[in-house]
Amino acid sequence: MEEFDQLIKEKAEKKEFKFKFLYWFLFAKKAGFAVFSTMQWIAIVAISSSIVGGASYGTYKLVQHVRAKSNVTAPAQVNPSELEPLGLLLDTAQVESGSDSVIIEGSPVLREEKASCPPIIKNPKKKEKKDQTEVKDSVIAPKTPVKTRYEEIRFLAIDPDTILTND
Amino acid sequence: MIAGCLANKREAQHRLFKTFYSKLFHICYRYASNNEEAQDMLNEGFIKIFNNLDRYQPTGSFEAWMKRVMTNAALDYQRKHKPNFETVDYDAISQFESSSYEENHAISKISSDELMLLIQKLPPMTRSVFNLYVFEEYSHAEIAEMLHIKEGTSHWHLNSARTKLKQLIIEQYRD
Repeated sequence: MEEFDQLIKEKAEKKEFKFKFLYWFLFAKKAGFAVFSTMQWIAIVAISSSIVGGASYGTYKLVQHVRAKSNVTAPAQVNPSELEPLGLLLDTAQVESGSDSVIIEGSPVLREEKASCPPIIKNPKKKEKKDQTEVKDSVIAPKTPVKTRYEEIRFLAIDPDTILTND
Repeated sequence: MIAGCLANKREAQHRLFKTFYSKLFHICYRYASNNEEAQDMLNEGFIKIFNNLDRYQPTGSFEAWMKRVMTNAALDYQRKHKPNFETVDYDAISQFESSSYEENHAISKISSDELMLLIQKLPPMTRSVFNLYVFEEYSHAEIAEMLHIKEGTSHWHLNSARTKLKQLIIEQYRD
C-alpha cells in the first residue's frame, strides 16, 4: 500500500458517526420491525403519563396561587378630609357639694387618634424578604386598671361655716 | 446480544444496531455518493445481517463478519441503483506517481469530514475499488472477482482514484 493510501485511511477512519434514535426508527420501519418492545412501550406510557400528570398538577397549583393572590383586597383608601382632626378636649367637671358648687377645670387631654383601618400586607412573603423583619401576631396585653380622670385630682371640700367673714 | 437477535428480540436487535452503527455506517458512507444513499445502504445491510445471523460461525470475529456483510450490501446497492456502475475493462495499467510532500501535507491539513466528502466525489466503480483495496485491504484478484471485472481494470480504477483524489485534495487545500 502506498504512503498516500495509508494517510487517507488513517485520516478517514477518524471520522465518527453518532447514533440517533431516528436511525433505528427508520431502519425498523423499513424492516417491518416494531420500533419499541413491550417493556419500552410500558416505560413510554409511564413516563408520558407522569409528565402529563405533573403538568396538570402544576397548572392547577399555579391557578390556585393566582386566585389566592387576586383575592387579597387592596388597602382601603382613606380620604384625608374624612379624618377626624386631632381635637383638644377641654374636660370640665362640676362637683356639687350641698347648695354650692365648685367648678373644677381639668387639664386639657389630647385625645389619641387611631388609624381607621390596619395596614394590609399584600404579599407577606415579599414583605418579609424586603424588610428582613419578623411579623408577629399581636399579643393582647393584660388589662390595666382604668384610671378615672378625677383620681389624681384632689377635691377641695369647703365648709361654708369655716369661712371667715368680716362679721 | 446475538442470541437475543436470533430469538427475534427487539431490545437485542436495537442494542446491536446501536453498538455497531458508527462502524458500519462508516463503510456505507465511503461507498455512497451522499448521506441518504449511505443510510439506505445501512438499512439494507442490517436487514441482511439480521436475516443471516444464523449463518455466522462463532469461530471468527463477529464485527469482521458484519463488516463483510455490509460491504457486500453496499456493492449490491450500487449494482442495483447505479446504472452507470461501470463494467468496462481497462487493460492499460497507468503508472501512479508517488505523492509529493505538498500532497501529503495537504492531506494532513484537511479534516476527516472533508476527506470523506472528497472520496464520495469519485465515480462509483473507482470509489468501490479504492475502498476495497485501501480500507477493506482486498487484493486486486479478490476485487476483480467481487466486482466481476478484470484484475487490470481494478488496477486502473485504483490509480484513477488516487490521481483524482490527489487533485481534489490539493484543490480543497488551496481553497
